[in-house]
Amino acid sequence: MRNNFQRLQEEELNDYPQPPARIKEDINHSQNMFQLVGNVIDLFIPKLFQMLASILGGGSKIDQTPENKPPRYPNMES
Amino acid sequence: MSDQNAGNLADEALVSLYLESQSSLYFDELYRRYAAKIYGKCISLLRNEAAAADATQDIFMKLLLNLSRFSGQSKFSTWVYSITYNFCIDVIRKQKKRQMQSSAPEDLPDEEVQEISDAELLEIKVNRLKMVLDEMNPNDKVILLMKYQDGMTIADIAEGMALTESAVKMRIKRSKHKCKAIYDKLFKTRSDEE
Repeated sequence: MRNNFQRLQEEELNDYPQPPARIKEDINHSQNMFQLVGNVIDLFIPKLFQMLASILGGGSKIDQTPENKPPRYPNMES
Repeated sequence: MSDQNAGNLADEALVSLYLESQSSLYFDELYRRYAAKIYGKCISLLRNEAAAADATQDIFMKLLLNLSRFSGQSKFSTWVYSITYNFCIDVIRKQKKRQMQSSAPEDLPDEEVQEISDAELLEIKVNRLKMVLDEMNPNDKVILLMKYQDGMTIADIAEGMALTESAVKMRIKRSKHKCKAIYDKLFKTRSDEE
């Protein structure tokens, strides 16, 4: 059974106007912005780190075993 | 999942589905359930529709950004209302600072606070209760709303307001005493005259 505080809330909910539609629109807009920023971060941050790593000399090791060593001169057969 | 299915889910299930999928469908359902209640509470505390609309929007943004922090230990509604009350109290505090008001009456020492029974408080008629609550300090009003309107436990209130349980009990006792004092001031003298 509801008490007088809960009945008061019910009365107030009936008396007060509905929340303005612009609240939901603004929230949707912010939600879309967050998703966009999230997607941008997902797409570009790993690439940025890869680029930084290669600028600093990191990255995949080149196989320098004699069989895979590139020819000294382009026209020389290995 | 369709709108209709989301409508049948419990709040806590909607939260976890939203966190898993980031689909706005689930957040929209939470908005549909709580927007009017939060807006109503904001109007009741801030007494200004424009400020209440801004507060409602800010509260939903807070909810959106902090949904992953909802631990599920308490009910979702308890968590939402705690955020709402804390936000409104902050707004009122900032407004008061701006207006440089310090009209809050001094608190009585603990031993002078008379114990008011729940029954005594709950028998106040709804229209009179509204008038009494409107006269109360927002901090006192909020703690009574948490306990009697939203049915929060002492532990929930303590967690929501970052207080100890004994501090919450003391605040409830004080707030009930103030509520009764305001009621007596507003209505007892009137009925005595009648």
